[in-house]
Amino acid sequence: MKTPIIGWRSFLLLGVLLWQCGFYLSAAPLPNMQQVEVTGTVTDSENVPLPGVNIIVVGTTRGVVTDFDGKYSIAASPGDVLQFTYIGMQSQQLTVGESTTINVTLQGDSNTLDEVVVVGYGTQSRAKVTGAVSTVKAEDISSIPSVNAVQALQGRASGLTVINNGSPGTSPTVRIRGIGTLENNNPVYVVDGIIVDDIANLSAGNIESVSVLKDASTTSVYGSLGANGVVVIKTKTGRKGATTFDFNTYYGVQFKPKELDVLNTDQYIDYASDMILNADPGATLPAVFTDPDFTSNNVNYQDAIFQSGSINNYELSASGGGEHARFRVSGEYQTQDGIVLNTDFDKYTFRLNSEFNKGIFTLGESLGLTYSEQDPLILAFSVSPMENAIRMAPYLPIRDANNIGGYSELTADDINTARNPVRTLNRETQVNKRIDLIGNIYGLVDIFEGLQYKANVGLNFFDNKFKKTELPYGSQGGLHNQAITRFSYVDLRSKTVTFNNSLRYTTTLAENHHIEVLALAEQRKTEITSLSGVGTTDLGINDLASGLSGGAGTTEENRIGYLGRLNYDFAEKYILAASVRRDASSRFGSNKRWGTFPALAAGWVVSEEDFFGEDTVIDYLKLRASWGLAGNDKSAGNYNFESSLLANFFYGNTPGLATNRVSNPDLGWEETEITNIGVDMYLLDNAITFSAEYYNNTSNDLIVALPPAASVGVPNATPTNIGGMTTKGFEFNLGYANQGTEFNWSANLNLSTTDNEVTQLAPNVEQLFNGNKPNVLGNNTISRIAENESLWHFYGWQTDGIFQNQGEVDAHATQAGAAPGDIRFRDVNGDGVINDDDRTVIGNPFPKVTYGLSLDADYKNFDVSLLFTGVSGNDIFNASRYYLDGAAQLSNAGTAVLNRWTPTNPSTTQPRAVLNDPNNNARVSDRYVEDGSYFRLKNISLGYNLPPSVLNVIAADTISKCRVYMSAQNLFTITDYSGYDPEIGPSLGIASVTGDQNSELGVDRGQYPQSKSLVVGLQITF
Amino acid sequence: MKKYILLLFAVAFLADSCKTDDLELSNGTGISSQTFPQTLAELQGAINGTYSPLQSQGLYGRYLFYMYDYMGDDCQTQRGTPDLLDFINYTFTPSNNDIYLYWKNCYNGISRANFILDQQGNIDALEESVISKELKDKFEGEARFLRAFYYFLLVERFGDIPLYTTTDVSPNGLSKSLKEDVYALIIGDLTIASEKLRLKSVEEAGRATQGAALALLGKVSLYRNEYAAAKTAFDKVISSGQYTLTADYFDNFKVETENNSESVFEVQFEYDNGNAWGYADWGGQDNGHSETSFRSPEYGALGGWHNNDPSEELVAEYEDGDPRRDANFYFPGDSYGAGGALTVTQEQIGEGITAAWRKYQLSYKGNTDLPGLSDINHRVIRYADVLLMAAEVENQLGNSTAAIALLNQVRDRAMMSNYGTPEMDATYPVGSQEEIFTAIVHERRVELAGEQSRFPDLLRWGMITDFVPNFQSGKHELLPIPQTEIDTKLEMGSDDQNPGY
Repeated sequence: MKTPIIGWRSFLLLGVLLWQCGFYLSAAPLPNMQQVEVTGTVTDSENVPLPGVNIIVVGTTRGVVTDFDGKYSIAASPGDVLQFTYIGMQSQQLTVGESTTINVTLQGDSNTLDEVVVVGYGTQSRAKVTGAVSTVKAEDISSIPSVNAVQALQGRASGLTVINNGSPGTSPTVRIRGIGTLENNNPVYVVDGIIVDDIANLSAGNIESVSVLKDASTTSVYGSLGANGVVVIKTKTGRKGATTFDFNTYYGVQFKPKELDVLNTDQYIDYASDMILNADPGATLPAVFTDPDFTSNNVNYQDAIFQSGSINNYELSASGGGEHARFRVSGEYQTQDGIVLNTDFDKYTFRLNSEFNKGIFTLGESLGLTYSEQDPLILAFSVSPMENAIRMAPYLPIRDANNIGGYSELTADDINTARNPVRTLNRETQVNKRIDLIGNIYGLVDIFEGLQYKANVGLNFFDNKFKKTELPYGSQGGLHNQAITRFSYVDLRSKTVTFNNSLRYTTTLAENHHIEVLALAEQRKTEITSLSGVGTTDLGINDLASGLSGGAGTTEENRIGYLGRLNYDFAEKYILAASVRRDASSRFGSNKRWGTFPALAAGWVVSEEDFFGEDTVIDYLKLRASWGLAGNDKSAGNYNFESSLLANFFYGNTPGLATNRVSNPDLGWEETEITNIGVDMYLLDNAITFSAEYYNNTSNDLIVALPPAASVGVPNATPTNIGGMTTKGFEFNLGYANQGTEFNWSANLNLSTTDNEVTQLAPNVEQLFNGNKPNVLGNNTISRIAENESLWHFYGWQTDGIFQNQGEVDAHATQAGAAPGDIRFRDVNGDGVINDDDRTVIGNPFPKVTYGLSLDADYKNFDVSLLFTGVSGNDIFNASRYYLDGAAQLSNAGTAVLNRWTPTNPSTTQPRAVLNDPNNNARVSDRYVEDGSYFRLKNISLGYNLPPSVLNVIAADTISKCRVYMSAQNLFTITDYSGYDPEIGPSLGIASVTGDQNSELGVDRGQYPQSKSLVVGLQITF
Repeated sequence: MKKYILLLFAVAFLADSCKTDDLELSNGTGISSQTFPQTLAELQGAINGTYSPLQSQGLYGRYLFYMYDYMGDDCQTQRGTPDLLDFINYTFTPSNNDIYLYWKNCYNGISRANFILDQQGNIDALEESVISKELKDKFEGEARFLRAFYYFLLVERFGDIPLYTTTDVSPNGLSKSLKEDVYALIIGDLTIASEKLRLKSVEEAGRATQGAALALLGKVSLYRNEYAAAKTAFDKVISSGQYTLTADYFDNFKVETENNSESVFEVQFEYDNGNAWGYADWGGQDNGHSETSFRSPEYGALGGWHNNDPSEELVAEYEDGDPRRDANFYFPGDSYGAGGALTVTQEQIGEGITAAWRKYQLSYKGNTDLPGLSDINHRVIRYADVLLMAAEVENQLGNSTAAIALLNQVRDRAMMSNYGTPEMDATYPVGSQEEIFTAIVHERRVELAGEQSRFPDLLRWGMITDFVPNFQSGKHELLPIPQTEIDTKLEMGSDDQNPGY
């Protein structure tokens, strides 16, 4: 197979071109003729002229470059073949015919070997990639309306898991190839060569490409940051040519989510009475149960907290450039009103990218400024409004004019302790105001042919102000009341300055030996400062000027790294890559501050070999393998290796100091050894693309916080590199493209499997529960880590039906508090007693398979695209069911309790209702574990491009493109899951800086559901 | 040529762009332990932090007084949390959380004292102008006193224990040492401390003094039946002229008369802005402002949680007219509250119970035991106890006259007849060593009721099984080592548990 793989497309395009120009295409070469001057214009698919396109007459040394307006002129004879090449575009070869005018439209790359893949500290052509890199195209990211570009990556790349949360402005959970450490698993983001923690501040419209780096040969160049994978983002830049304006806007409505079936007032009173009397047959029932002022109400609190929402976006950009300068400037405004009361998000984004060059010098910058305001979902005493909405007594009206603020509250007489969620959402509010500045400036010097020096200085700054206001509510002496206004303020500022210097040498020896060498030095310095205050007032004011008590803190972290990398290939047939990075982080102890992260990769393009037959269905076949070490310093935290004295140990109200932990000067990076084997194949004239990967990530030296023995006398655990785990899996990508003259369509499927296991914790640590986070239900923790098990599995009791009579209770192992109608728990260890030791693994939150399927088609001026996403084989711990049918305490419940066990209704699924739950039926058990598999139509869109004839009528020669579209998100979801949404995103509450939420993975505490939405949009280029 | 200059420049820049000094970062909100201390305030802070565990929930904040009082025969109750009732019922197991907190809070203090003693080189190297020699000595004395104090609490209750003399250990800690080694450290520390500490008259209230170190050294010696050593120590306390008994016995249990002339060592409790609840050590975390005690609400019958009543035998032990009976207990009809405006009822005290606690109760001045938690300082060693211990030592050494004279100092303050007088000979004759001992047993019981003395006294006198029926010899001399200590330690297994648990 020696034909250039782009050949068939070239001919196709030539055909289209000539047909458009009204010429007849002759298949046979024309006889030798005299040279003529061939001229034309080269444009991209949006009709924008392309300057700088290389044009050569194949087989000669004659070549020219298109000018500022995309025009060229070259001497050629009919029958000569002209090759048009431009980085980021598919090359084309055209044969010169009788016409001396050849206009060419170059197509953008899409999964072809000429695709330029952005990798760590450089770019590679897809043909030379030996590691595991998935890419996502700009148009795929902007096709889904989202206020956070990361949301739109879901389902687009194998090995990349994005778990969204419906709360406007809340960043999703992002994992690359599952998880590889017990602590912080967030990937690293690199924007225009600068490492950042988060890209929530980037707008989708500014992103040109996203590369997901997954194996060691691509991530270990980031040293002690690479182990969780890397997402490399390049923002859009201007091109030489006339100035182009783009205007995009869309407006969407988001529909109220489905509601869970809860009891109505009659059912509730019946259920509550049963519950109270079961506990004490002589009890007096609450007076409200028979008070017509209450019993005549039937309030659905879910209905009261959910609303329909909207999303709206305006974006305007201008780009262009001349011979020596290029620019792109854009501004964007986005606003989203959530589907839960008082949750919304506004974002203003400005971005300027430019580049200037003179001779051997180039100077460029990219600068983004974002301001956002979020009204997040606020929990009331760690309970989400959705959970309170489920629990509220339906007889209680929402409003009560006698209470401060005007909202009803349950009282001690109601027994039910839920808090009015309409009140909490209206009276306890928070606003997060955030300014983000992310930018870099770089200089390039082409010292001599092939040798380039680059300096890149980046600044990533944010200021995040949280202000929470809790207005008074309830009435004095009530179960839930607050007489004063409470304020809390947090101002968090983070500044990271990155500076890297590199020398890159590229050369070709003896025609086929391509060599690239990179040497780089990099340093990053981060400083985070926080100021916080809390205060109260009984005055009706909405801010506090004085009377605050608070604190301040500063943390710093610095990193230094040196990288050397060699890329070599012989005729793009045998490809080798080797790199080594030396990295140091201030987070590590003095003995282990420096780490070495080597990587090796090799690729073999089998289809280029002579023995590979020409007439085969396989057009291209590449085998590749990589091995290397990548590190992670995120789990270490700042200063955690050292013992320091904290001034928090008062005696006689004078401050006292005490050391906080045993120091560990040997604390070092977590290390992951990553092996990746992959194959890339193109078949049937490149109509089908296929790639497959197998990976095995073995993590060693994972940081486990070793709790000190009590006799050591210090409060904090000592982080120690002692744990181990493995994550392995397969990834597949399968694509099909059918290119017709008027009808084109393509399909892409990506599918990943992942499987993790903890291989070692610590000799004296049998299991780890989530200590600091509220990962509990009742008094039991839900998620656990233990050796030889998957991470953060659900851990609890197994149920074994319901005791139908006292005989069954007596026959069973001793189970404290059990009576007929209670749940029989399995005596897992067979010791005849049901206690904590009978807990076992009851579920696994990790999907066995994660997949995305996209279908795109266009016909004439219409285009349609669909994206399906899904997961399979995971469990969800539906903690909302603790309230819906757990019956731990009196609260409104799901309709399942209508079938509860009573002496006359021998239910085998729903236990009896009894106040205080003496048998602890509500304990963490497999009752709450559900299959979390789902299949979702994430997005469907239909677009129409106004034809030039229409555009010319509307605005002659000004508008080059006008597309209108309509799209719908989350239109349907196929799942057996009973909660609001099977996609369990990050936990609720105030967004944390590191935001690691592993231990809550798959635990649904009344998630903010994602909404169905309908969007109309307009895109204009002029 | 220009290009090569550029190249050189680029390479030099590349190599020099990173400074490894930047990697040396320390926590800005903490003080690096490597360079400690730099100032007087830092060293003073570390000393304060070493006292701080005394106020914690496992010790004088809550559980220590329960543990000792319940295990003796001064109390009766079946109310309170299961972990506490374990002490009165002798049903505690290695998983008892209060034992764990007692253990942990003692070791918190030991770790902090060791940290200061570890830095002795740094401290000595500081200029006289930063910290004077006299202060350096005093601080060393405080660290040693506190280390000995905490170890004494531990070794008495657990026997063989892990013995840390430095903070340079792994998080996993050390295995057990013999209790004799622990006592050797205690005696050594107290001996040095008694030389380096200040006299009470020149020391700030609440801090360890020469007198405190000597009194504790005497107590340790007495508990070990080393009477000569005990006598030496007690004699020094008595002859120091630093201590006298207060005129009013009840002055030892009030806020207004804290750190008085009778106080030898006293744990300080303070309200701050009246925020008692926020200043309690909830959960034995021993951080922040753990500045109030649970003593008043826990023992209080007048609005308190009423989890402890004085035993009938204790109330009956008092001679008629002993003012200490009325100082220690409330009886129906007694007045209490601000200005004595309220009257105690039998209902408050409880059916079939004679008296409720008055000692250390805020109801002496407030209308309830629960205005919040208590800010009454806990008198750990008071001079009356020193005199009684000295009397016991003299009696053991055969110096009956001296013993009786010491006893009578305590009697005089209570305005009670002296031992050796005809009216006393009728009930408590002191004609022999045994009779004097009986008088001491009596006097200690009535003087130190509810002050955590009765249980260790009965234990060391070998009399506990006569008075505490739940006590099992061969087991209850020691508490179980907390299970978490055994579980988190590689070197420790179930064979390291104390006998019987």
